[in-house]
Amino acid sequence: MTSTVSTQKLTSRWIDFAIASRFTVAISAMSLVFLPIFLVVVVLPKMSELAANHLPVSVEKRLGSYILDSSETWLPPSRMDIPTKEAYQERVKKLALLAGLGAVQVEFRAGPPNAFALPGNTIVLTDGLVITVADPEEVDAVIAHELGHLRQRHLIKTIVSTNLFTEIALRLNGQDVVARQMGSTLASLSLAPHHSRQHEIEADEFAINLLIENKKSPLLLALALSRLDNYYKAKGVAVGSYTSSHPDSDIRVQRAMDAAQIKK
Amino acid sequence: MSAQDKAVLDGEKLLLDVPVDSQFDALSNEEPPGTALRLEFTASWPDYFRLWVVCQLLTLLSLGLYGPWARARKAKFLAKHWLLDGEPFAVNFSPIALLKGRILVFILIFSAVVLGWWNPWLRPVLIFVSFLAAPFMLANSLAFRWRTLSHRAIAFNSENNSQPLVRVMIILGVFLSLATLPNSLWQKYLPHNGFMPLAVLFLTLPALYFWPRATSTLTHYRFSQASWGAQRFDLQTSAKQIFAQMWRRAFSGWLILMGTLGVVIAVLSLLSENRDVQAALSSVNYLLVTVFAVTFARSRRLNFVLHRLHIGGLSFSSKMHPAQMSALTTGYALLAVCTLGLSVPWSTVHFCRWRAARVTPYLDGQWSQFLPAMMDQPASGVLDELGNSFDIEIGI
Repeated sequence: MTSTVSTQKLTSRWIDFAIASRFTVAISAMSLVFLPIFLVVVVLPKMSELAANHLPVSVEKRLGSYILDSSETWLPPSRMDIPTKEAYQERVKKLALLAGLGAVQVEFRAGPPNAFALPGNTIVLTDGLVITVADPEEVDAVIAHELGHLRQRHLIKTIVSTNLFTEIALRLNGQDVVARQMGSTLASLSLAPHHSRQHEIEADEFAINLLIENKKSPLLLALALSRLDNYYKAKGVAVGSYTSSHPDSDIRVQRAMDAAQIKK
Repeated sequence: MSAQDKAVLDGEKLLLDVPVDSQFDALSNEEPPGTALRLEFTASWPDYFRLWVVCQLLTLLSLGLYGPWARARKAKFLAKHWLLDGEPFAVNFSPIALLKGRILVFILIFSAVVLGWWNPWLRPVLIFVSFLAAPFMLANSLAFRWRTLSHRAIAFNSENNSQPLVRVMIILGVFLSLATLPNSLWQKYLPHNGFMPLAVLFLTLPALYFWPRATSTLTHYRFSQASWGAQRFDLQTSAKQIFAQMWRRAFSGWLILMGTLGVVIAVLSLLSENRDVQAALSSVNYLLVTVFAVTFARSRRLNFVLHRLHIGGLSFSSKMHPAQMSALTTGYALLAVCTLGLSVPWSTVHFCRWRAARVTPYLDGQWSQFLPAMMDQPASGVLDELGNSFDIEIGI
């Protein structure tokens, strides 16, 4: 007991000394600037990768089904006919085997052209995508891109890293509730789109490689991306650089075209 | 006291019948009886910065374990620089209790996160359970904070009675947990066109009614249950009246602000075809509506409450200008984000000084009227950490 008290007193004296010293205060201030940057730049990606790789598939599946269930207001059931759905299910199955993913579930929804991957090996294709892209081989390129997201567990990584970043921002701003609010706004505004853009590039690369392995041209991806880009430009959807979840379409199309030319 | 006054004080009167008393408005010139006392905050920001920066780093390096000791040091520093009539306040608590609380918070939050991830359908249940426990946590937390504070060697106290908070917290919990149910569940049981109005209702009712109602009840609770030595706090208003005041004099302004800014920013967004500009404008809109406007409402509420608070012969005049306070709070937060939190010590000291300059205590009689009382058992600091993590206005 006495030794605990004396240890506490000694520690307290050391801290008093640290507070009084200009040198330790300066070092502490610098550490408080650089440590969080180190955490965000180095530790965060590693931690999110570790968490994503160790998450059980059953948990991912439940999370995926929860997200899908929560999106039913803006993504109503598909109006696609059953033979078309079955044909796409078959195409996804083949591509998933090639991608080394095993069983991948396909969900169809009505809505504007879009496709996305959900945790638990699920891909969602919209009626709008099938109508706009039209050529099934080009749709395959889009599916290959989504398989890239699944293979690299992008969504889980994004969720983990965004949550951890918000947590770091909260801790840094201490008791300031307003600063916490701003920190989380900043996280959702800056970090999530940045990660998302990186993931899109990785998924494009995966799709290009998968198409090549499947003896298909990466040009299919370039064409599908161009059609989607033209659709959204015609609808007047705004584009941006820093807050957009996807990289600039022209760059993505150019990369796919470059890959096609190299392999031709 | 007339029957009508009694009904108002008991909170029995209907919300719309409650008169809004402009006599106690933020910038009222009415002065309470007695002699004006000096309330000062004497700390300098470089001194607080030195303490804060070392504490913050030790907390970070110890993965939060040093946090309770850091909090004790910071609280003691700030309290001793608050002077009422030349006499400082004092804070005294054991960091060990807070450490236990911090570990408990970590285990509970970690378990809740794991459960929420393991099965997302459990999330509404988890939200409801946390609101069920909130009254107990908040009552304990407030009791802890009051009981560790003293002035002129006379300790403050607070009754640890969660009953007045139960109803508002449970109602809020029910609404927030219902709002988190997946859409598909609603669509299964509701006609297609019945979903949207219900969703809007579940989002707007908590934001516009249940949340401000709960925080108003908590504000009332915070002062009405407290005492200083043998002298009980006499808060001459009810929770309903605080809420009515907030709605009529602050929320109305909030709605006007929200509407005007919403329109301006929507027009600006339409004019720009750049998504970055649109996102930045939406963020500004969100921050103005939440940060600026909510602080505006809170400051008016605090002025209202302080004007009606009496502790024996002590009464208060509070002239914290809502717009100024909102601008300051928003500025501090922006600065904190831009400096990775390094500006927090400066803004803390600046804000304490700003508040000290705007709150005037009045003493009717002598200080000798205040006598120490038998102290209740110290409240548990374990639950204070839990209440703290709940992020409802529990700060004193």
